[in-house]
Amino acid sequence: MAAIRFEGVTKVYGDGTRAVNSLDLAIEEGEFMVFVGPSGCGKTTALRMVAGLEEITDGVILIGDRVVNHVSPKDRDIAMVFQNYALYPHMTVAQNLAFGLKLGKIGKAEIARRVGDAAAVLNLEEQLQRKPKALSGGQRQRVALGRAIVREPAAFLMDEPLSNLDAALRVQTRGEILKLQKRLATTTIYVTHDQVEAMTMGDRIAVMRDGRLQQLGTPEELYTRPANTFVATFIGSPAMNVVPAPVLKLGSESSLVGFRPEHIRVGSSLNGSVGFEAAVEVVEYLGDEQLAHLRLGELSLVAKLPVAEKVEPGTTTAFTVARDSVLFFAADTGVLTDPRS
Amino acid sequence: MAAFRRNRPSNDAGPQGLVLADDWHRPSVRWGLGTAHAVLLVLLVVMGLGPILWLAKSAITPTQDTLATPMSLFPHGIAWGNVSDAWNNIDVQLYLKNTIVVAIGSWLTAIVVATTGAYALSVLRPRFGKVIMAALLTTLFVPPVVLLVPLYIEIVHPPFINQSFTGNYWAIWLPESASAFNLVLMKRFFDNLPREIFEAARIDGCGPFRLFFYIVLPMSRPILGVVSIFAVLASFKDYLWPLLVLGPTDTNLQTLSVRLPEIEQFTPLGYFLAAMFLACIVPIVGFLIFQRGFLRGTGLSGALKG
Amino acid sequence: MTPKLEQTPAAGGVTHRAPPRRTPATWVQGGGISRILFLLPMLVIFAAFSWYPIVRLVLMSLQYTNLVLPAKWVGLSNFSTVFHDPLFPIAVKNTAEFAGLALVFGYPIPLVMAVLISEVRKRRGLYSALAYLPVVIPPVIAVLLWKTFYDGSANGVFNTMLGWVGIAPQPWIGSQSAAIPSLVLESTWANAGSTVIIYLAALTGVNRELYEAASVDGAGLWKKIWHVTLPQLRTILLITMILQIIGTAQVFIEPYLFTGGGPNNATLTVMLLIYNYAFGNSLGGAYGEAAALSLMLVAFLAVFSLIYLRATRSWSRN
Repeated sequence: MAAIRFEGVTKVYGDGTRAVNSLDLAIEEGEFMVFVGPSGCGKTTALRMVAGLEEITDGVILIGDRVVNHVSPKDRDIAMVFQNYALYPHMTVAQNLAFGLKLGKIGKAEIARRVGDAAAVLNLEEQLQRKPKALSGGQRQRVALGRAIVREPAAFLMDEPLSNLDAALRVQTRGEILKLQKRLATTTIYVTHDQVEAMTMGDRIAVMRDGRLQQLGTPEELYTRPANTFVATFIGSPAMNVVPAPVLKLGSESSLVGFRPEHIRVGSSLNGSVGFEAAVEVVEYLGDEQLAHLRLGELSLVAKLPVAEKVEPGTTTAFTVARDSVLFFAADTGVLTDPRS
Repeated sequence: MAAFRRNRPSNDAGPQGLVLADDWHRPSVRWGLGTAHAVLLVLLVVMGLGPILWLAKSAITPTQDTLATPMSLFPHGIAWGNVSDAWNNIDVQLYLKNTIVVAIGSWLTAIVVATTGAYALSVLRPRFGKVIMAALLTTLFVPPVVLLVPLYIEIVHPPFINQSFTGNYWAIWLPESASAFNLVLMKRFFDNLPREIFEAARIDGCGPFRLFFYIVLPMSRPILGVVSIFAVLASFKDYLWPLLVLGPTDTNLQTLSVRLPEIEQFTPLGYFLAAMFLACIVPIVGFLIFQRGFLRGTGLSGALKG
Repeated sequence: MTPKLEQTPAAGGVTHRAPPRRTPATWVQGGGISRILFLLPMLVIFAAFSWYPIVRLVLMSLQYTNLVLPAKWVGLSNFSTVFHDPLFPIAVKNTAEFAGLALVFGYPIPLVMAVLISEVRKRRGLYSALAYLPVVIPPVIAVLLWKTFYDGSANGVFNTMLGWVGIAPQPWIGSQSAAIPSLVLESTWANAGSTVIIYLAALTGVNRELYEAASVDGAGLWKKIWHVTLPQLRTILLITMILQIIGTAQVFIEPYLFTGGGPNNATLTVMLLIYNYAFGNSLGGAYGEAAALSLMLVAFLAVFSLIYLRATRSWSRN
């Protein structure tokens, strides 16, 4: 396995669109790194540049200590799992798995061993002689994973591999991918648009938007100290409430304040907390908690409350938030500011 | 309106919905359409099959009978000799062999030129790809018959070589493979192959050659079938160009289509009809075997033009 | 040693190393050579047998070529010779007659057949196969076969059949007036099948719900055909029409093999005239005139197509 490094990497398409803008990023050996962001943010383009499927307009990508800008994909020692699996339709599962190995001139015995091991780990032993069109979506996805595993590469590159699976399968496969990666300890870059996947799977997460890196950090760092309002509202569901500071009487219009739905409580403010009054529009009962949708003037807020708290739709209620839970952002740039500075 | 009985037919069976189940139950429609279909079937058998059956019958009928009473059925017995005479005495076996050789050669060159060109344009994507495509599309609008004269001059007096190419099968194979139609058809097919599979193959270690042989070609069986059928059929039906290329000095190289008109005057009718029938067998049998391919391919080409 | 770089975004002052430059070596690595290798067969073939002949055609029409001496420029005299050839207007008239008859007679038939076949419930494949069978027959065979059918004596095949219903024997291709219609008949027989298949494919693409909606609106069979089928098929109908016109304008095999252009030039078409100019016995070797007439044919068809496309643009756009 190897570390992967982006240095000032930029991708500009022929028509002038900047898909990736000066990306600086270092991924450690054996790390499970997640690239997450909305569509068009450049995460897939960045991944493809590591794979060698997109040309690098400017900057340098290193795999290990080697600059790979002009190295062809097959010589980069990487394996990729595609969103639509990209299995070879005219080959059986076994042939699909063995294909890359045959081209790499690996001996027959070794190929058989690796294919057998991968099939065993991924529960594909019964499917080895079937063709992709006879497999279910989940099975195809496992073949795609298997194809990457048998290569025993320096890094795995995964492009939204779960997005074509139904919800239940997705959750189950998520765990299996994680277990696999931990066991093999291969450096992995995993691209997704789903922040839940990012939070649950990544050792570290790179949040991207419009081609730029917004923040790089552990899930906890991103959740508790988001670098800007975009990260703050992107990570976590329901999203963080971000309102102008004067609403909570915490500052002037030049600041925004953010607080997570689970930090709101019903009641009036005490020492160390700030309060506001809002109209309760709808309350969603979830069994273990309730989501209250509030309206404050023109602002919509969401509160995640314990079931014990009493909230009635159609009433105006006082709410309170612990002062320590509130984050400050500059209103013009959205960047996190430290209120003590 | 209740109960439209929805027949959900597969592609090749079942009505198109013009006549609904409800309509079908009305006696006037059913009898009218049924009669029309019956008439159509009879017409098709008579018109489509009739001439060929007549040819088959006359191929084994003595010449006199065919001349005197062409529509009668073996009044004086069957002349199997016609066929063997045609085969041997007028050398139909030679010309049939030639026709098949020419067809195979046409097929091979057509496939090679179309697949490599379409692969380059669709998958490898060179810098001047658009220019080349434009040049290709303009040739689609030039009726090929019109190029016969300059092509002939070019074959007889090739630019850098001091030797005529008449009497050489390559003079048939190579120009015929310059089919913009085949190339565009194949390129469109390659365009529709999922790019991700090519990317996976590149990562697995395929260079351009392996990608072509191990991935693209195996995935292209349908279109290869269609282009093959077109190429072989076009070769069998080709007349004027082989006539020009394989002139009177190369009679032993000529194909059936070229040879038969030339010997019409000297050949007794019975043998001649037998020879014609032998010439038809290969295309007809081929058609019966590969029906689906023919019909699908022609429909495809209609879709291409539409 | 690679220097350690900051891991936070937009870390100012980070020096990036310069990206490696593109060189001929990177082009080769990127598969440049194989790109050319794969293109080569196509480029060579088309250059030699498609693009070059087109250029050559234009040049030849302005030259005198006789295969022995180098070609001589003669300006537009080839065109003039063709124009003033008394056979030229005859050929044009005959070709127009052939194309026109083929259009009137041979254009509606495949459509009617296709509509009927598309509604067949069982064994539709049989109908399609029977309709397509004549297309598979090599044109030479078809023509020679029909030549025997058209035998003008009382014992000719068709004449015998006419005799069954008491009609006198016809000269068919031996008569100046009946020659072209006879050719059109054979040509329609040989070619209708492929058009039927094309129409069948297009008909399967018509959305069934349109028919159902029409039925709900109270449309009977004929109204459905007129208001649903034909409009949906509009584009393909226009295309097959122009293709048929272009194809029949170049008819060669039928006149050449049936009648050699006779009787008395009644079946002399433009393509046959071109052939005679270049390879015929009486004229022969007049390559310049042949090229000129070829060019005139192409130009005419091109202009015609343009006018046709313009005129039908309002029809084919909904």
